[in-house]
Amino acid sequence: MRFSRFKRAKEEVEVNLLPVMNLFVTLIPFLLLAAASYHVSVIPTSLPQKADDKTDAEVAARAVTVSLLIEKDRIELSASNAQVDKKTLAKLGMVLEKKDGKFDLEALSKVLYQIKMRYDQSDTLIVSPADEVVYRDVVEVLDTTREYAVNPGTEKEMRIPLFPVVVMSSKV
Amino acid sequence: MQVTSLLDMFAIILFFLLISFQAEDKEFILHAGVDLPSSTARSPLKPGVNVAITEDAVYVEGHKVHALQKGGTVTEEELQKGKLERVSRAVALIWRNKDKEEGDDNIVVIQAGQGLPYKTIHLVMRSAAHAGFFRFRLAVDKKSSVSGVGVSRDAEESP
Repeated sequence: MRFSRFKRAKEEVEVNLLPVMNLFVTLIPFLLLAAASYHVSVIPTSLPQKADDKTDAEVAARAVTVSLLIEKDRIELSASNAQVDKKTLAKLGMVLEKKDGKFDLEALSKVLYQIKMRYDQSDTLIVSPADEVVYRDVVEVLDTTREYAVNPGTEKEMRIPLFPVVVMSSKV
Repeated sequence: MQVTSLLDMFAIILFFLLISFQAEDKEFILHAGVDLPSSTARSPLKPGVNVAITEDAVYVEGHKVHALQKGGTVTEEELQKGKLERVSRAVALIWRNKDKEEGDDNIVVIQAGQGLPYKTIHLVMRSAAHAGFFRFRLAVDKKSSVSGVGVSRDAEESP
């Protein structure tokens, strides 16, 4: 009799894991679905502010502030810097007309990249959309001006920051 | 049936999902009816005063503070004035009474519908600026990076 009790104690007890499995099977798809629809990120911007300019003169000469005037049918680009002569700055400016009803973002990206190569300390962009411009178009332009991809889609792809500091203004 | 390994896997996935949810939250609640524009921006959310702009009204922390014209536009009079008085007051009031942690800056997180005219969004930003808020985070719907023009990564902080 003593022997049989000892034998019963050594028998493995099977825990019923089915309810736990059921819970997991319900929770995981729910969380995955919720995660898929919750992908929010932000674009940092600011409004113009009065600030003391304490930038080093040498650095200041290598930086221009680019202004983009977004009209309904075109983008007007201009650059400013107190230490660069007006003729040089005027050469940087241009107008990019819409192509097939869309802003020419590819051309804009290339122009900004060239400016960045020439004035490598530049990082500030003043964006002034016209009143009737739709918010979606403004965000598209900001996506273009933030970064430039060299050798896109290849192993040698490199991303160069263009003008990540955005100041929002409006057309006067 | 041996289900222990399956159970282990589920437990790991569950923990991972729960932790990623906790990391993303940051007091951000997407306002109902706001269709955010898609963007390649990857900057993380930062807590601030949440302002939502729909086609009907401007909401500060979920409370309707200013009604808009049809299509989410503003009147000429409001544009001339340069600010929406009630938005300025609401933003300032919310910020004063918000539970702030060390390092929290006075930032306004703007959730605006992608089809809204820019003038409305800019007027809301100017209204917040009247209350001392000059830094903004434009909430966008993250989309996967596309190779080519305008590929994005984390943007640096605006001044």
